[in-house]
Amino acid sequence: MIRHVAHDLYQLGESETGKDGWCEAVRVYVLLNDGCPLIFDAGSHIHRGPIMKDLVELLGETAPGYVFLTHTELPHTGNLSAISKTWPEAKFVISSAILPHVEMPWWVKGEQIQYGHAGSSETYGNRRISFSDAILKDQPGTHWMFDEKTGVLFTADAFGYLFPQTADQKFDDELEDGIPAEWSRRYHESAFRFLPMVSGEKVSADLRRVFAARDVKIIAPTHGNAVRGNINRFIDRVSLAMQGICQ
Amino acid sequence: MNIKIYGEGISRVGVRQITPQIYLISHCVGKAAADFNGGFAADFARINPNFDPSANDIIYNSYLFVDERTLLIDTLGPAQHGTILEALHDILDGRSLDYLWISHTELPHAANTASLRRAHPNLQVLTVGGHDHYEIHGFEDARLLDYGDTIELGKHELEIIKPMFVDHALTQWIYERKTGFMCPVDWALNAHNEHQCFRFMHEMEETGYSPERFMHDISVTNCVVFPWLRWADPDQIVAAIDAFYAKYDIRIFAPSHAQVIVRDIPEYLAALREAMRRVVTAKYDLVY
Ligand SMILES: [Fe+2]
Ligand SMILES: [Fe+2]
Ligand SMILES: [Fe+2]
Repeated sequence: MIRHVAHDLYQLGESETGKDGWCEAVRVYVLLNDGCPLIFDAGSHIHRGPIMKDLVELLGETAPGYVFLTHTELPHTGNLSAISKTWPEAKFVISSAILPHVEMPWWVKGEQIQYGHAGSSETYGNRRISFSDAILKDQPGTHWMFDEKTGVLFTADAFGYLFPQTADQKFDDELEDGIPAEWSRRYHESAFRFLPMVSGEKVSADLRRVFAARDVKIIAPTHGNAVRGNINRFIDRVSLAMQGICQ
Repeated sequence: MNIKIYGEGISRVGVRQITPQIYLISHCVGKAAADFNGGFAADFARINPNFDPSANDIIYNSYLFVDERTLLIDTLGPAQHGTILEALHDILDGRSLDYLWISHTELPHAANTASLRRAHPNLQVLTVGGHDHYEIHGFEDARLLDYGDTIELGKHELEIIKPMFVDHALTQWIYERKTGFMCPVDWALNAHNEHQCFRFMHEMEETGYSPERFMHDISVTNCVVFPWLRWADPDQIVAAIDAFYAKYDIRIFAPSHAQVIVRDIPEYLAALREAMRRVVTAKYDLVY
C-alpha cells in the first residue's frame, strides 16, 4: 500500500500478523526527489507482489537512481533482485562496513555498489543524504541515514513497534493518542535480545544524542510506520519502553 | 597443514578435519582481502588506531558433522554459494545432508539455505524458536528449536544453548556434548593477515600470534561486533562468562569468525574473558 508521509516521502510495504495477533510491519520508503527517486530498503521477499506493483505505480516512468540499504538482512533486502531486474541502472548504497561478498546477494556487481561512510554526507540526484552509525541495531554494519531537506531519519530496525491490526498503515498522528509505549516495548524486547543485559538510561541517553545532533522531523523505521506527528512524545515513550526492558 | 581448497578470492573455501567426524569449512579471501574487507577493518581502526593494518581478512566458518546422520552448521555467504556445495559434495561422498542448523539469519550464516535445500531435497532446516514472523526471514518451514533441545547424530549429541552475546534476535549457540565442541557463533571475531589463512589457533602461534594478541584483537573487534556492550556492566559480563565457562566443558572452541581452538584452551578462554571486560569499558565514540 502506498501512503504519502510528507513532502516527497512515501511509505510502502506490508505487515505480518503474529500468532498472538500483534502485527509487524516491513516498510520501504521512497523520496521521489524530482527525477531521481531514492528508495530506502527493499522490503520483504514475501511482499514482493504488492511492493513492486506500488513502486511501479509511484515512480511511473522514472527509474529510481539509488536503493539505500540500512543493512543487509533479508527483510530489508528481499526485493533487491526484483528492483534490479525492473530498473537495472539503479545503484545500491550500503554502509562502508558491509562486506559485499558475504553480505550482499552474489549477483550484485562491484560497480553497482556505492558506500556511505558514517560521519559523511553525499549528494544523490541533488539530494544530500548524511550517514551516521546506527546506535541501536541488530547487525554490525547497519547505518542510519538522514535527509537534510525533509528532516527524515531512516532508522533501520530501531524505533519500530508492534501494533494491533487496526493500526496497520496508520501514522502516529492518525491514532487517538499516538503510539503507546507498550507497542514500542513489545517490539524492542523481541528485536534486541541484548537489551535486558544493559542499562536503559545509557541506551536512552545515546538515542537522545542522535536527536540533539540534527533536527529530525520524521522518523522512518522499517518495522513500524513513519512517525511524523509528535516526535518528542514518541521518543519519550521509547525511552519509557527501554526502562521496562533494560536494567 | 592438511587442507583442500575450493575456488579463490571471494569464493574460496578451505576444508580441514578437526576430528575424524567434524570438518571445518572455512572462507577467507586471502591475498586480496584488503580490497574486500577494507571497510570493516577501517571500523576496527576507528575503535583503536593501533589495530594491526595488515590483519584485514575475516574468517567465515561452517562446521560439518559426519556421523550416522550429517549436520552442517551455517551456510557461508553469497559469494561462496558454489564452493560450499562442491566442498560438501566431496566430504559427504554420495551421502546426503540430513540437517542444516542456522545460528542466525544473517547472510554470512544463512545465505545458501535455498541452494542447500535444492542439492539435498530431504534436508531439515533447524533454527531458533520462540519468536514470531518467521516468514520474513525465509524460515517458514524450518524446525524451531529451544534452548536445551538436542539433536542426536549417532556418536554426537548437539545441544542448543542460550547465547551470551547476540546481535540478531534470532540467534542460538550450539554445543556438542561428547567432544566438547562449542560454537559461540559471532563471539570472538578476530582478523588475520594473508600468511595466517586456514590455520588452527595453535598454528597461528608459528606466525607470532598468542593468547595476548588474541586478547588485544578481541578487545577491539568485539566493540564493533557487539556495540551494545557499551551500555553493559563489566562485572556482570565477566560473571556471565565465568558462569558459562563453569557450565560447559569446552574442548573444541569453534567460533564463526575466528580460528578453531583445540590446544591451550584455558589460556585462550581467559584471554577472551579479559578482552570482553575491556570491550565493556572501552572508551570510543560513535558517529551520532
Ligand atoms: Fe536487522
Ligand atoms: Fe529488520
Ligand atoms: Fe557472523
